[in-house]
Amino acid sequence: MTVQSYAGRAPRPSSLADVLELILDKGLVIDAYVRVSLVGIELLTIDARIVVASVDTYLRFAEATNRLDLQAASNSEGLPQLIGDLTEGGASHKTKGALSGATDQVKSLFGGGDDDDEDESGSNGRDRGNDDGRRQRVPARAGAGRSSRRSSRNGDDGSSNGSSRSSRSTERRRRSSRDDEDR
Amino acid sequence: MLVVYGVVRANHPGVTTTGVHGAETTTTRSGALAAIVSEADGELLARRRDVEAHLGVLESALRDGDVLPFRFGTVIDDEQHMRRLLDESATHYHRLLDRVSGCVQMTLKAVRDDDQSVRVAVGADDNLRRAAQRWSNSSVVSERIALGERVAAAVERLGRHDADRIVSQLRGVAKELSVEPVSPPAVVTVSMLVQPDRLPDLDQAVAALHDELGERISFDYAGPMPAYSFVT
Repeated sequence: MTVQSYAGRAPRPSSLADVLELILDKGLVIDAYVRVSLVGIELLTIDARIVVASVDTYLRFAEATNRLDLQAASNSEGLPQLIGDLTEGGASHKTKGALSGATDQVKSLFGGGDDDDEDESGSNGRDRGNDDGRRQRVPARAGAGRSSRRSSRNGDDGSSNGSSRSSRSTERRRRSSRDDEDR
Repeated sequence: MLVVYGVVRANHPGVTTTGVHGAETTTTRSGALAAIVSEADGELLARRRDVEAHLGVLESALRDGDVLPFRFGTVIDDEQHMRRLLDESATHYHRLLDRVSGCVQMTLKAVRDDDQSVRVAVGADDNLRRAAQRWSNSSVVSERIALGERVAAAVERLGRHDADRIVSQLRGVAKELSVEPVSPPAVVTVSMLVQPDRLPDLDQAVAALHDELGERISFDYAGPMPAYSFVT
């Protein structure tokens, strides 16, 4: 069984979020010349990036093992080098750190924002993304956009990778609805 | 106000197509360089049609030669400022053009399937399998949480293992390779700078990865694109 049939290469990444990552996060910038309102982007970015470790996540993984045929022979061929790693055991100490880290992330994304609310009107009124009031404007200076976005998601860049997981169903739903409404 | 899409060498034929806000693109030349730009008023919003227009302009430019892609939303006051920027940054831009010369960017994103990953990770670890047999149906929530945490950690390690495998498989084909941070369930995104005549080799390498890991990893393989990941 394969998770997805392999369709070879496509001209562009298949999701809008990945295209945005490409052209908003990368590419040349001229200092002091970038001026863009990332209306709707933060929503996408948050949904794609936020990583919240939760009890639900662990329960979900525990439940996933329920669906396995655990009497089956060990399926370790081709993965001998993994076994040493995989037997290291649990990591209960991570829970607290991951949870508080996630809280910090949420705070940095939603709280303490100094300019989140000031452009609710004006030319952005036509944006259909305002239905949940979470639009944000990113500072327009070159480099600043990148660094602020980077810092808001540093939790997923390695520091809490081992123990955190987002709610994927929510993420996918939001991403696809965002894709749809933006056509 | 001009939207800046990218910089090319002066011998590039330029791009005449529809850019951001439906405006026609033009070329501003200075010395041995030229910038692909279009007129725009007011605010730039990162809306789907404008984002795609930006990418489309650069894809057109790439078909006719090397291009340095600029980040979406880059604007400059007028042509005079654009020419001054080209002059001031000429050394830098030439160096970057040389770096990407004759190459395109290909990107491979690998995303794991959680259920399949659990199957492999638990199947490879006798202790974990015994733990799952014992606790996956436990009526004590804290026991199920503790089990789930161990399973999650094992799946994460499997993902890192797969990511390493993917990167090492691609390294030989690409001229340059950039491994980009991802969040679960993605395990890795690799951007590669590739000469077009090596594309069949890369296609083959990706197909081999799919054959090897396709049960638990889905691949999003895209390009040829402008070399976004190799101009900063």
